[in-house]
Amino acid sequence: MSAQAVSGLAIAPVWARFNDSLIRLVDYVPDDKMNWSPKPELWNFRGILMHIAGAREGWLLHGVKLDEEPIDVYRTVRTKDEIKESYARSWRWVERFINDRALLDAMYDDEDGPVSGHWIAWHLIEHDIHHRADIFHYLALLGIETPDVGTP
Amino acid sequence: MSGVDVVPIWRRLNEQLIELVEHIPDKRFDWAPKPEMWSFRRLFVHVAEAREQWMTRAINDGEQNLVGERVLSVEQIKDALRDTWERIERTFTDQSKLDATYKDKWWAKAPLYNGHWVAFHLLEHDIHHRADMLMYLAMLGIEVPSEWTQTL
Repeated sequence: MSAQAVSGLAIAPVWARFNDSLIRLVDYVPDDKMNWSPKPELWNFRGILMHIAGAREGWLLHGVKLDEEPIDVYRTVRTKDEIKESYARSWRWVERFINDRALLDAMYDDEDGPVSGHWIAWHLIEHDIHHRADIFHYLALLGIETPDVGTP
Repeated sequence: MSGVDVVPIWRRLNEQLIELVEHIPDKRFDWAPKPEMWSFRRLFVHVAEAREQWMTRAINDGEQNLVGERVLSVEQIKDALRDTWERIERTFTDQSKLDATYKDKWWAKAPLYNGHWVAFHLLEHDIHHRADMLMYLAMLGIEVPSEWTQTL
């Protein structure tokens, strides 16, 4: 299959529902386990949850340079309510970005070289899914029942 | 609505999955952190099997399933990831197949799917279970390759 034969994937509707499920997942983490991780060298729940919003902010406000009011995740977000609010706000940036063809087709500077908006969109999907899986994994290790992992 | 060109980057993720097989010690292939959790081998087979399932149950691409629920060797797992990737790539590089709507052949009450949803589900599935395997390796203290999809 030719590498040029790429198609456009309309991901915004599914990703929006995915974001809603991510917000609901936060409440499955017991308050007294927010600083727990399976090994000392692995990030804890709070760190992973903050990192999801932090990555969106980093890529979209500092990389793409969307003109949006920053959250400043690593300074202002700590509690579960703040984490959920940061997902709701940062999702609006993601949605704006992936629905703008010119922003997707543009190139952006990254420390490893220029990347396209399509690559950034992929990376943010990958990042959301990867770290949600970490949260599911931690909950499973603690024996905490989790919601269905299925695509909403 | 804008489409995101994900297929070329997803192809790289599949290559990373194949490389990941090599990072798992032979004696750990049937290991899981808890008895009720899936082993590395089961996770890999599940990734390939799910791709086939969705090409059959929704897209109805007419191709033969090769993986099923067989227990695969390490080399067979790598072949299965390669073969099933080529199969889904044929669908997801065809815009008409992405835009089409499908009935679930296995579950009559399921909502209709479009190809974009199936694609999102399968990329979510690949990334989610890769995260499981990376977490397993981290718990075993085994050094892992870079977990993020490289730029093209």
